[in-house]
Formats: sequence, C-alpha cells, structure tokens
Amino acid sequence: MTSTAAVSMPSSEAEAVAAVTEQPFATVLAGGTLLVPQHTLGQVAVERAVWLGRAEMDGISRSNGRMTVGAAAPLAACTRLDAPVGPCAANIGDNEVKAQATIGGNICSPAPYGDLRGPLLALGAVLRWADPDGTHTGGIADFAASGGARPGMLLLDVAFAVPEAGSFVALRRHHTQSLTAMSVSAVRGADGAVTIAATGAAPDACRLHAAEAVLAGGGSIADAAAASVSDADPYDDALASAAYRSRVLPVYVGRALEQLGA
Amino acid sequence: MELTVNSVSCTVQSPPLTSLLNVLREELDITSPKAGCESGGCGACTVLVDGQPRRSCLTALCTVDGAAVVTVEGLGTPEDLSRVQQAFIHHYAAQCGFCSDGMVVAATAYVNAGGSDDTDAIREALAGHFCRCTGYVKILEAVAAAARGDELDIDSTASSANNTYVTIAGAES
Repeated sequence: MTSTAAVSMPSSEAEAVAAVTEQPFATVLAGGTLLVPQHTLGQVAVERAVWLGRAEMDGISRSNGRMTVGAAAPLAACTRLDAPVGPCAANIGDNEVKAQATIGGNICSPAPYGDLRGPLLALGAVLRWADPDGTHTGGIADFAASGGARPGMLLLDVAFAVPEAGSFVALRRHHTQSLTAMSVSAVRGADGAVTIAATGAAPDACRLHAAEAVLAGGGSIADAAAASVSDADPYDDALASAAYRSRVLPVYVGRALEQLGA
Repeated sequence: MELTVNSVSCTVQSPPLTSLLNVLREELDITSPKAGCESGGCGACTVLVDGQPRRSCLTALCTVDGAAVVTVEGLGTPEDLSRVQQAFIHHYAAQCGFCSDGMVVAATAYVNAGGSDDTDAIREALAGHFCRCTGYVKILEAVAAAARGDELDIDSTASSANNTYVTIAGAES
C-alpha cells in the first residue's frame, strides 16, 4: 500500500526547516530505512513528506575541539568517528543500511532503535532542532523533554567536544539484522572526568551517575561497575529479560571502563 | 521520475514514496529483486544504485530520481554471464535461489570495488544477506573465486577437498 503523498526536496537547511514546520506538518524522510518499509506496509500514513537528501545537512566537521555532525549524515560516515560514536554506528545494521540510515533518524527513533543516544549522552552532546517556535539547542534529555521526534520538528545537527578517550561495548548481535540489547559508552573528558551511559539498561538511554561518582571518588572499576545498577531500570522485552539486563550491565560497565583505561 | 534501469532509460509513474523494490517489480516487471522481509533485513532485494549496493525495499523512488539502477538482469546475459554469475554457477553457490540475486549484486559491488578473496572481508561485505538454505560456504567460495579472477568453467562444478558435491547431474567427488 503506497500513498500518493507529495514529497518536497529542499536544497538547504533553511528550506528544510520551512518545509517541515509549516502546516500541515510534513513527515521527514532522511535515510528512509524505517519510514519506507512502514509506509509500504501501510503502517504509517503520510500526507506530505520532506526529503533531506539534497538539503546539505550531512556534513561532519571539527572545529576548536568540537565535532558537529549534520542530522542527515549517514551512519557509514559516522563509523569513522572516534569512540564511542564510531564503534556504535558500526554496530548498527549492515553495510547497505549504514550507507542509507542517518544519525538524525537514529536519534529520533524509539527504543530499541536509537543506539546512538547512549554515546551521545555520555559525550554530553548538544542537539540543535527547529520547530514552529524557532530553533532550539539542548542535550539528549532536553530534546526528549521537548517532545523528541514529533510532527513539525526537524533535528538539524548534533555537536560534542572531542573527548580525551572513549569506549563502547555492546552485547553481541546474532546477525546484522538484530537489534542491540544493551550497550555501554564511556568517555574521559579533557578534565579527566569519566561519564558513562547505557542503552538497554532502562527503557531509554540513561547516564550511570553512581558509577561515575565511584570513579570520581577514586574507587575501582569493579566498585563502579557494581554501583551502575542503581541507575538502571531494567525491563523485559523480546531482546532480553530484566533479570538478564541487571546481571549483564555491571559486566559491560567494567569492560567499557577497562577499554577506556579508567 | 526518471530512472536508468539496466542501461534503459525509464519514465516511471509510481508515487514518489513507493519503494524502489515495488517500482522494479510492479511497474517495470523486473523480478530479480525479491520481496523477502521488506524491512531491510534479508538482502534479497539488493540492487546497485549508481554502482553502490542498496536495499530497494528501503529506498523511496524520489530519492533515486535520475539514478542508474542495475539488477541481476543487467549484469550479464545467458550467453555472456558476469564473472560473479559464472562463479556462483561453478561453485554451486545457489540452492533455492531466492537470496542469489541479492547476493550476486552485493558480491558484484564487492568485486568491482577491488575486494579481496579474504573470507572475513567477504563475510563483512555480505553480512546483511540471509541464505535460508544456509549455503554460505559455497557462496563465500564463489565470491572469493570471482575476487581472485579464477578461471571459471560453468559446465563443471568446482571440486572440494572436504566435500562431495551433488549437482543436478549427479554426484561428483
């Protein structure tokens, strides 16, 4: 089932913002890896769509120690970024999917998609998005609090300070088609402080503040790993049980911190 | 929308959000790209778009307007098969055949990009492709042979040190 929805193809970010935020709100088409099959199978109704492929929103740049990644940058390009973002992007889908899917689409997709929210949370990344009220900036949590992915909103880019070191570990996928049940990202900033975030430990990506506090207080990796479960909100789904998530989280926190050299 | 499909220019009438898979199969009657999972996970619908392997089930028509699309029908003819097609025959790399079109297309992109006969590299390149017959060993051998530029005789089936190959014609050692 395919609708006859009109698709506009803006040639700049400004045109894309105007096209997405005007009434009636349009559906954003970036890589299409989720939207196109849902549309084909009649699972989503699309009256008007805006394709970002020509909007020049796929740039990746580094300036003054900060990376800025356009929302339409494909995951294949993101795999070349340092940990934790690069290895996380490499752990999503297969080569063909990575060539097509975008970082913005991943950030805006609901769990258990949205793998990159973990690394970006650990990095303290700043998102920039537009809606009918203007352009906004904020962290992953601010973006979610604003309503996250919603009609009339366009994610523009994501920026973060290049860390001193980063690490990423994830539960092994059985196949490139499989979703990742849990991952842990750790970052050591220029000030030496370590930040840690996980996906799959709670219904959405979460910071592991208790583990960070243990490290900041001079505690061991083992103690930090043990403390990590206090920030978790484990849940059952088709990928893993809550009990399994509780058991695995400290193991993966430990591995991420060892990889980081914490 | 305009497409060049297997070197033939086409004006297509499907709506812009139609998947490239449905355009090829339903409008252009090109049926080598298979509608397997239709969610990007099986690889059976893979085609080349401007030389790069793409999941046609994930690709909206409007995003490939003006592109050159190649399917298995455009890789070779029965009289003049492509190197990868010859390798799949010689190494008996097809069983039911449902995955073969996507495998051949992805393998063609891999070989054309100068891919080596390293098994791990081939596994990585074909990681998104399922073979429900589990015929992966033969597929890997075929792609490695194509990557090496082996002499390929499609009238005989490759022998193996470890297996007895059973062909349509019978058993060969």
